[in-house]
Amino acid sequence: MIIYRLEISGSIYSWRGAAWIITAASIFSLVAYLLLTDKELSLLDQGEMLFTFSEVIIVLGLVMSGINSSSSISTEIEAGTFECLLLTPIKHVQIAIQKMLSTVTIWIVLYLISIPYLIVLANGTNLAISAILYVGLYGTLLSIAISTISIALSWMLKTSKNSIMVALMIVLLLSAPSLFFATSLRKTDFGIMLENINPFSHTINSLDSVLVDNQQAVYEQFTHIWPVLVFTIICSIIFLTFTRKFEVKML
Amino acid sequence: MKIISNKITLSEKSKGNTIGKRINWSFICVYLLILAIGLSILLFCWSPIPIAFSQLSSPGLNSSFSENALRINISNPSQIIHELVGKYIIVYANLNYLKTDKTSDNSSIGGIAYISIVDIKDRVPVDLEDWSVEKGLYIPSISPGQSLPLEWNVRLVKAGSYTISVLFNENRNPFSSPIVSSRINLEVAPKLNLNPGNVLPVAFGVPAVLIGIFGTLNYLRGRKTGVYK
Repeated sequence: MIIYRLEISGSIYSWRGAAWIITAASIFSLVAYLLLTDKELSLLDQGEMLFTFSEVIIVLGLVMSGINSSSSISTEIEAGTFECLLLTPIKHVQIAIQKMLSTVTIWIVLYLISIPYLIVLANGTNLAISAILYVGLYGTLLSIAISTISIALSWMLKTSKNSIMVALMIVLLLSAPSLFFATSLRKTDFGIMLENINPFSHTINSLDSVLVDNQQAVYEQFTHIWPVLVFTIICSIIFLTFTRKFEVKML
Repeated sequence: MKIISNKITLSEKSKGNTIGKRINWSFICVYLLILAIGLSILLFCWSPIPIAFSQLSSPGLNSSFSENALRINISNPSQIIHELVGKYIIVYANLNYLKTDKTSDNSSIGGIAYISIVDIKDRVPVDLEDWSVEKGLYIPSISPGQSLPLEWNVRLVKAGSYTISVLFNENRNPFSSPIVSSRINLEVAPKLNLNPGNVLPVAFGVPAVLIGIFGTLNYLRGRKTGVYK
């Protein structure tokens, strides 16, 4: 797990590496503070507040996972250190898995930071545990999916600029129907079809149903959980296929 | 001066003519008005006409009721519901098929019962997307003499004054008007979730603790590597 430890130490030990954690905490602070102190925003029901905050956590986690993992292999290639990495006595796929695990760890750190905010926002309701568990479940599954597909892209495209751009486009494509489409468009056949195949839409709809409609049981959310799970498995298969063997002659 | 006096006489003549015309017209108008009032009284007293009027005012309602004898009514104990934003209320309704003749083949009917909430202040119907998971209830069939209890869980999303009614659209006749219940009032009081005392320690505390942790880690690492002596 040397590569994993190196990646994590780079993201946490130095000031520059840890700046993202402070920024993420500041964003959470700002959103939570506004939700609970602004007169108009505070008119929202607590379920709506939690739902809005959960959306912020998931989107921030996805963007960070996408950017972090899409530059993981291509940065090594650009810096000329990839050959040295391949000389280490571990399988190529293990290098990729360790890179993926470091990204998922970053998501977990982000998620742990968000927990106190979720508890404060859910104060006085029975939604705190559900919010924490469902955000954790969906965030972890989507983070794994986005990291695996982004690492595969990073190897295929070989330049950080291109791989980051494509990864961000994937994140935007996934989040577009839920965040940018109007309700009327989402109710058309096209919108319904997009929502049915989009794992991010399932995540948002599930959080809406748990936190706003109070349907907290797992069996009630199973219709939303399995598409996200299938998406993660598909991304993992793509990841394993492309990272099985890194060919140095192609560099 | 002569010319002026001529003018005066001319204008006086013409004025006299117009007054005469006005008097004639006003008489005609008064006659017509009396005639109209008289005719309308006559029409109201005549029996077939009020039926026509009542059919015009609520054609489908009465016709469908008389054909199907379907009745829907909200059975909440109170006519006015007072509740806070964010709370859940249950709207109970009863769909009754008052027809007693069970012999005919097509005696049972089906349809969709749905809830309608209207914002009195904004004068708009409420989009029920966040208010209720089940907006409509499909009723495959209801037999003569049967009574179906219906209920809707409604989450109170926004403060304000609303009216709630329940409607039933019959499947058999697509052009019939819906059967409507009487309305009940809903008063949703606002609930401010202002909680600065609770959020402030977390909002300022979490970033401060993180800065402290990473500052300490960085310092310890610097001490080890010789950056800080």
